[in-house]
Amino acid sequence: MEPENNIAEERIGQELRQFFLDLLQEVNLRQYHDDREQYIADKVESGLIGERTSALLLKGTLAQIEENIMLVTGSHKAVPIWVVSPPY
Amino acid sequence: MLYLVTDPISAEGIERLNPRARSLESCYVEGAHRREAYGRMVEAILTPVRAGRRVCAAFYGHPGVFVLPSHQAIEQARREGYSARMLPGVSAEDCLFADLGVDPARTGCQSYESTRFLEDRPVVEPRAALVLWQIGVAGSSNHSAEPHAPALDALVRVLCTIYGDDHEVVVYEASRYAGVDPLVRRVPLNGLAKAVTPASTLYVPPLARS
Repeated sequence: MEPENNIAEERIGQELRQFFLDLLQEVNLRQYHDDREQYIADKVESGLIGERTSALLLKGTLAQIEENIMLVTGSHKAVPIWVVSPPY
Repeated sequence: MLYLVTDPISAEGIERLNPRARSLESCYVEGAHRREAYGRMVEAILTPVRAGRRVCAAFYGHPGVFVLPSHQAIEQARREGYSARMLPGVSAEDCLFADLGVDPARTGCQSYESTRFLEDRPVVEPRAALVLWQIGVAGSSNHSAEPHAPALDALVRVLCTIYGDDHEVVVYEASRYAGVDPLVRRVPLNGLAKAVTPASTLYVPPLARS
């Protein structure tokens, strides 16, 4: 499934968020970098992510992925940018 | 543990490491000058230090590169007699060199904050690479949830006089997510305005040596 005409959705953002949080565990990150496509396919098969999320991970752009993640509401506010260098 | 990051996944990752960690995002006030926010961050870091706590403050990227409050907090802590140190991280420029395959040693590299570049108008060596940070907020000194770059057109005009309208530049944004490609947009200078994102950095390749 191609991610073109992607319409951002909070549910997909949740899946993406959990997907990337899982990668904070070293064992998962190693598997991911060893065979990224298989790792993503396994997540689809186990029902942790859907087809659209899978397509985004495989072919989506940074902007498309971020657009979905930023829709996630809850304790962690989605923040597009914090600037920490002064305007001089 | 205090932190300031740009995405909710990093935030949650930090809070998993330390459930008592809290974000510095509340230091920003919509519409207020960003310097005020940096002052509040310094105080947020130093207040627990003064109370005898061991404090760690984490910033996205390299904590000492284009980050004012980290430097100020360390300087202030030392002035007050506390021990403080900074540990290096990976900056946007480091990512840019890796993702674009650029070695700053080849031609030399000039690196400026966009607003300061526009105001100071430093002498540019066009045969060396140029990196302009924070082009997505060029000319903006106040915090806004909707970043904008009121000075971007002026910045483009300055660059066009140096490099020419059709000089190809790269709008770059490092990826914050493992395995996801960075944003890389190659555009002529006169098409820059449409390609800029709020968090992007501009890479201007050097002019060919004649």
